[in-house]
Amino acid sequence: MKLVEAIADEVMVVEAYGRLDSTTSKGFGDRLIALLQGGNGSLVVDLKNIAYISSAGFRALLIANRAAAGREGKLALCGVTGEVRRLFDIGGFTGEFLIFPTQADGIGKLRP
Amino acid sequence: MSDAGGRARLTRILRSTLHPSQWLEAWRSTRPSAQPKKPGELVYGIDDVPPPLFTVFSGFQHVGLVRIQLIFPALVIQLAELPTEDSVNMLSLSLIALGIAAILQSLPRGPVGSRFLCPPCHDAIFLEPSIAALKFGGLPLVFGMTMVAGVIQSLLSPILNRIRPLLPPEIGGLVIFLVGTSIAAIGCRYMIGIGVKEPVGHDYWLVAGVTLMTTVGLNVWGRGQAKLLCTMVGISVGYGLAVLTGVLPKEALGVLSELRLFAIPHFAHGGWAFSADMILPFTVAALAVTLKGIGDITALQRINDAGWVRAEMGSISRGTLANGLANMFAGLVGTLGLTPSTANIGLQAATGVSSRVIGFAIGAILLALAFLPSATGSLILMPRPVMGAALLFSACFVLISGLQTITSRMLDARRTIVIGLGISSGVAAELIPSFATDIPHAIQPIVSSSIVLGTTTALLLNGLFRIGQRQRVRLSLDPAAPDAVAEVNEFFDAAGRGWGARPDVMVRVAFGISQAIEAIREHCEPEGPIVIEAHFDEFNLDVRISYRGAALEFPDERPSGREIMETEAGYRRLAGYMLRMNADRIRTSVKDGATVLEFHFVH
Repeated sequence: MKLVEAIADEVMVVEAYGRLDSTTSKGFGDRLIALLQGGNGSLVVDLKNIAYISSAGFRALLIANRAAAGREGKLALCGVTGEVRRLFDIGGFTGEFLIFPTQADGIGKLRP
Repeated sequence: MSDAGGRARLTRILRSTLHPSQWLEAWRSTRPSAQPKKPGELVYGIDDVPPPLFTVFSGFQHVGLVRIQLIFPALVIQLAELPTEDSVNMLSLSLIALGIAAILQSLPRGPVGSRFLCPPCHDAIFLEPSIAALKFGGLPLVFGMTMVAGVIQSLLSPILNRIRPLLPPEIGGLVIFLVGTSIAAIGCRYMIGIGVKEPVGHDYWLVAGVTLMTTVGLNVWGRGQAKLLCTMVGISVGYGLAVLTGVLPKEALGVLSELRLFAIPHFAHGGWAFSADMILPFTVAALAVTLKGIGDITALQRINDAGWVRAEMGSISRGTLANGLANMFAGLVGTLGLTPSTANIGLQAATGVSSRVIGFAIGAILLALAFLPSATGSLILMPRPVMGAALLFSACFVLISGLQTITSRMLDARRTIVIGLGISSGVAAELIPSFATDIPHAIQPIVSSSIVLGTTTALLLNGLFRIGQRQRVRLSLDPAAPDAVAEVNEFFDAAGRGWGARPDVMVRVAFGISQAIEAIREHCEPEGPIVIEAHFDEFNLDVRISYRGAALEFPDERPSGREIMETEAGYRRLAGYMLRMNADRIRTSVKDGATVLEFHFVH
């Protein structure tokens, strides 16, 4: 799994590549928490290059979402399409996250 | 399989074919389990009733496409050298058969008809076998064998479900693609002017170009009625330009005045004849029509249902029966065989109008035209460049429909070869017709038709390649291996291609099994290997996972976010919940000390 980090309009953006499974989710979740603690508490996570997300991946996202809320920040997801969208739907997670169609939409919402 | 086993199987299939309960079962499976959802791009969906004037105009537009395809019986009529009056009468009989078939397909209830706007047409499939029959035994043999093809189709209709592995969707797509290439080839020849008796000039190409550009322009950039009626407008513009430029000579128009305005068609012809030599080509033609019909009706289901996931066999069986009965009727009254018109289905996709009511309008218009010889005669006069442009326009949609059907399945090397050689042999028959001359007389009718040859090649190879094709596969997995999940993905990708499974179902299977293996490794402390077995039979995909370790639970309700984040039980139950939601059915049991998880996916 690969993470590409960038700052756009003062918003931290993380693009994730690969599979979010029990092997990769721990490192992924830990990195999101570190970024939230180091920045202003808001983060856009782009999932458009994620091919697979299991229960472990959802757990990591839930924990990161709670960490953002705890710092009065926000975690925004984008690129939730295709198979990943189906998994969000069957897991009942669509309503639990801020989800935007594109990175630009997420950045626009989280911009200070 | 032994001879005795084979005979017993054949007897079972024949008995089940002829048993009334089979027919009733096929006919009763009338609706898909879920109510079809009208797609947003449809202006008038299947159950919508457009305004009367629009219905009539749409009907005429469809009839325009159906009438163009009357060139196929017209070609046979030319070869039979019938007098003008008999020629026009035979075309009238074609119109009657077409009209009745259009109405049968649109019937909203009962045992016959696909219940879609599914107009019929004459097309290239029956052409070559009919020409061979004409040479061998005259028109009576054409009519007799057309009836035989209709009987074969009708008998196939209730058992399509059972023989579906022998007629896979990708071969249906291949038939549609070959029909598209055949229509495109005729369209191009007509537009360029190849095979026209007199040399053509700039005016001829101008008429062809303007007709095509008008139709395409209205379809791409047009709005409202102009877009919806693009083919009819294109044909009308082409007709007018042909008269203005002299491509359609004034003396040709004079022929129309000699034809009577109204006449009742007569059914007197030379009778019917049958020949064992012709059974093979007409059986292949009947199979090709059935395959094409499966693809056509599946395409209609897709056009009319935004939530479409799989072919609904009830409507396909009834549609096949309607086509079989129409072919028996066509042979009885004395004309060529019919098929569902793929071009008209393409028109529905292009215009977003698929109301079933229009099917009745088409039927009524076709029946009325049968009594108007002067109107039928005008078809013979339709300028070749206009005909060519209209055929080429509709071929675009037919070709893509065929390709989409082919690629709707995962294809492994075997299936790729079946389709590749099917297309190659079909194209070879079209490009190198001379290679049919040196082969035995009996199989010439098969080899000389691109559609019949391509279909036969694909069906035989599909049957051959089923030998050794495993429907049940097994994988033993070391749970400690770091690449265990990747191995599962590769295993199911290869199995899906071998089965020709739907990619969307295989994606669900791959997720389910990967998630299950993850959960077993994390929460169940497995001892020894995890064994995965999968079985596929076209309608069902069943996966069984057995291992020695603690059982997983599959709750009906998802644990809360807090439970998932803070407790191991919540995290474990989330995995079970997602597995339950992902599969169509799930079951867990303990057998011989091993935990067994069974997942069922509807295919």
